[in-house]
Amino acid sequence: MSRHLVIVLLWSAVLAWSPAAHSYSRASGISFSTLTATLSGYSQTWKDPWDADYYVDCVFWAWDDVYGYQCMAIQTQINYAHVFADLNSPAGLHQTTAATDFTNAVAGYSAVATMDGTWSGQGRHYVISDFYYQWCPYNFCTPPLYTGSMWFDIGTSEDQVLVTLPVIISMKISRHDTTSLSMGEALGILGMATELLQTDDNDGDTACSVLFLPIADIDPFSESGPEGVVNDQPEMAAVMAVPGLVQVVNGIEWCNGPPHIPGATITGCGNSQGITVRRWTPTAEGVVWAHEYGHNQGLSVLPGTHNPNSGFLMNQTINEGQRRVTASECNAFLNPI
Amino acid sequence: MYWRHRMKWQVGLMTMCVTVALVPDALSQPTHAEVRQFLQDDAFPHSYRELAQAYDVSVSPLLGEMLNSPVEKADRGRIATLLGAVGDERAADALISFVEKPADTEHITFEHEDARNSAMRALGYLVNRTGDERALKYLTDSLTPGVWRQRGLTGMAAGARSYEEYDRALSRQAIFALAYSGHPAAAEAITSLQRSPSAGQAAFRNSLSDSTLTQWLEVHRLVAERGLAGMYEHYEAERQADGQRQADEANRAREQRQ
Repeated sequence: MSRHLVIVLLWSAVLAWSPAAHSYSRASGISFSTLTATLSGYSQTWKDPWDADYYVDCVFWAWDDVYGYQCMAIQTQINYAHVFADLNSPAGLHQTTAATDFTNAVAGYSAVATMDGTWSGQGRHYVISDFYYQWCPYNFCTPPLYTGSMWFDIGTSEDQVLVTLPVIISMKISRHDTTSLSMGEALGILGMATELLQTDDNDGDTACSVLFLPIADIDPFSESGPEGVVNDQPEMAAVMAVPGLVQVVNGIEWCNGPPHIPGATITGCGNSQGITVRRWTPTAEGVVWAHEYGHNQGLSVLPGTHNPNSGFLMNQTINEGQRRVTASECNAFLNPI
Repeated sequence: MYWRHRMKWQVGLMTMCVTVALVPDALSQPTHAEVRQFLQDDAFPHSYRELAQAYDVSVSPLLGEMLNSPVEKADRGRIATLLGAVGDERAADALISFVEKPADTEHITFEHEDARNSAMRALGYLVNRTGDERALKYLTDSLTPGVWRQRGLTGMAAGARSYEEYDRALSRQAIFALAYSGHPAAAEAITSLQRSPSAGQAAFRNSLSDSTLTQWLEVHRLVAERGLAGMYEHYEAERQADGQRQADEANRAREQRQ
């Protein structure tokens, strides 16, 4: 048992290791969706595959006459890629998220834009080294003990986007208590309405930067005729008087009169009081809602205004191809009363 | 000889007359392609007056065929409407058989529902144009929702929760169609529904708002007085005036804000 120990202190220089700049990479990206007025993007720090995730060093050696040098203390260093993704509005820092990963740290962000101007997504990139210490007399090691960490700054990355906010048109939606309409469906319809107005479809169309958004929950109401169908003027008046801008029903047989085109189905009825729409072919509901909102804003359908099939939103007949608005019609959408 | 010669001449003249009489008819017979094009958005009239004058009754057999063709699915509503508006008594059978056409599924599509409603209203157009008794009786019988079960109708509207509910919806279409007919017996049928002692009709009446029958009797009155085209033009004029008033108000509101 008598062993002559020659203690050799071979402290590894903890600080000697630092990440090689070339083995780490960084990037940021940002984009703005006018369809949802949402900024989204990411910042990412990643390292090359050959860069080790951890190092193990013996930091304290001892000489044993029988066994030779024995490691008495081990230090483990674990290296992470780390990133802070900052979303900056024209007024300053808006949001920060972060991510850590052994090889590829990606932090994403998403936020509704609140002001016009240049927004930027900025990544702050680091390598974090965590250090653990273990005492190992004769190879019986104690549990690792965390002793601290070091941050190595490997720079920043940035991407920018110019935001021009659309005019937000908030709609309180109600539905007849026999009519089925989920918030997801309503968002889909409003998304379609937004997209068709924002898109320039050429041939006299104007890109109209509006964004339809629902307000609060979809509340049920009981007004209207039987089974949620509007059959006459008093029933229409009762439905239009329901609080909120949009009332969704199962059918409309009367809108200031019977269907004005022979054989046609009334899919919506809009005036300065509000909009009553029926559930219909999903691909055309966005057109119907946008069209009726046009009526709500004083746009009328006058004969001869448009070719019946010229694809204009404010035509009397509606199908999914009716997407275009003139500049003056767009102006009504952009300046809601 | 003279007689035989004269006979030949007479026969020749008669043949020519028959040919002359037939040629324009054959030439004016619309083709499937022409009718199909007419039914598309570009050409289909927005006014009843134009629609009713677009074709004569010779187009009816073709329209009846198209109504039941799966190829014409997307235009069935317009086919039915045109069929009613041209005013051929042969149309009643085609329209009724389309209304009652068995559905493949429990719930029909929005397009099928709209087409079925169009066919109901077209029966009203047909009564208006021809006074067709079969169409009129079909519509008056339809004022009792239970009749749809007797007729074995299948396939309810997408939003309907039961056949009981959908039967009432179809019976409401019968009210509208009767109003469009402008026929005196139609007004009587709607009026009698207002006070009918029959359990089926009483239940149907109670499901309606007080204003519905009154409103559609007013439509009937306008059709009876001014014709279908006149009724449509009356409401269209009101709509345009209302639209113009609202446009003016909106413009004023925007100007004041600026």
